[in-house]
Amino acid sequence: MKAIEISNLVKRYGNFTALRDVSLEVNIGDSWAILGPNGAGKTTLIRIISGQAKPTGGEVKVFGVSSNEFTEEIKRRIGILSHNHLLYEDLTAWENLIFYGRLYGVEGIEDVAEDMLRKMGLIGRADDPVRTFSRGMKQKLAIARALIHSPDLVILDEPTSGLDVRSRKDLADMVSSLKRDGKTVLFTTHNLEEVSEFCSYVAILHRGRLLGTRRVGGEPLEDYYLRLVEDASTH
Amino acid sequence: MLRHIKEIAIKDLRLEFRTKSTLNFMLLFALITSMMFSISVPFQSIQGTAPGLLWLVFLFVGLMGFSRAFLREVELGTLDGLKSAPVSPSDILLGKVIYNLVLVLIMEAIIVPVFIGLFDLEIGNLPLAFLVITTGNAGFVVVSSSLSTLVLRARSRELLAPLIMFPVIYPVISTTISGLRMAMGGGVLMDVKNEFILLVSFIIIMLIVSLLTFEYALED
Repeated sequence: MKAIEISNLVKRYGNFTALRDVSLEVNIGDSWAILGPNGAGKTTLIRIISGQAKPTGGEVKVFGVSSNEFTEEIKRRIGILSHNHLLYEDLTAWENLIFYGRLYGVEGIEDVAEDMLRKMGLIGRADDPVRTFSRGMKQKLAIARALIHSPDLVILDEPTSGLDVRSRKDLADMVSSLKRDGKTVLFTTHNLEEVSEFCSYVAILHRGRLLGTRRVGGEPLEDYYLRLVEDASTH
Repeated sequence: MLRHIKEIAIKDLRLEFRTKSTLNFMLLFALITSMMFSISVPFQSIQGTAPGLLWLVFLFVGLMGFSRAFLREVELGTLDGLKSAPVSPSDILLGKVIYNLVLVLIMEAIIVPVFIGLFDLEIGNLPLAFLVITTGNAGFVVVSSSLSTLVLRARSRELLAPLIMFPVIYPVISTTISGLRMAMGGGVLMDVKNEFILLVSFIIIMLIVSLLTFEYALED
């Protein structure tokens, strides 16, 4: 069984086609980067994989289950870190984690939340409202929120945007730790450097089309990316 | 699942009691409207027009306040967090309905006594009047909670929400006013039997329709 199987995926919003005939397979335990410029369809793809949106055509399967038939069990196996942190600003860090933990049915949520806050270095701010946090602290809490239920598939949607050097390093450490634990990681970015830093495989998405996939290493990624985009423009 | 419904309702209530962004606004608006009515309606005709005026106060504040439960999630971007969580769309809707019901009960507990005091009203059957108002508001809450999701992505959603809600809740308005008039006149439960049947049927039908269609309303 694959972690993700995408076949001939199409997503339309009215007359606008966000994704055209996208097919991709991700093995369990692999770490993939979806690379593409803004507007390439990365977030749309992530929203469909995580069950937030439904495809117009084609099929997406996560751990063998079609996204049109996502059960609570499948959603429990997915953790998503969006560029929007999905936190309630007027709740405290503790209340946010407890709320999401209970939605995901995490057993012993108080202990898990305390452990998460300690790992993220936020235990001292557990009872402060999220709106008083810096961008980096919110991102750390968003990571804790995304991982509170120990998901098997972790989706990171442009997680480095707006992060300072320190927070970016913490994120890189977190991704390395997830890979060591055998989790499947899907990472979207428009930054070439981040691909080799965070992932083993890359898929190039451009104007809603998947132009190519490959293992990281070998031909410089920049050359590969430009070649595919140029080919797509001429054909 | 009851656990999810409870968690969503408690989270919304916690947020509301902490910020009081919706409740303060609703109460202030209700008090201002009640005072405007009290100085503009002739004393002699107040007993006959009071049921309509009282319901008008709830209508004004409800049209603007009840849709906040969903609009706040959209503004914060947290609706995506709920959609990606292992929670069914029905749980999200019912959590919001319960949250709005608590808000409306708080509103009733404050506004009805103020309204009675301002107009020096004689209520023949106060418990029945409360029951009629609460049942009417429950219908209003069910409709507004589900219909507000239809305008989540509209540009002028705050303006659009009341426009699409009003025609749907008209049966609730007319039936509640009729029942309230009877309760104020000293009527008993049997006198408002038909109004109750109509209101409860409306609530059940709207709830079923909302639960069946809500998943599609939440889609991108």
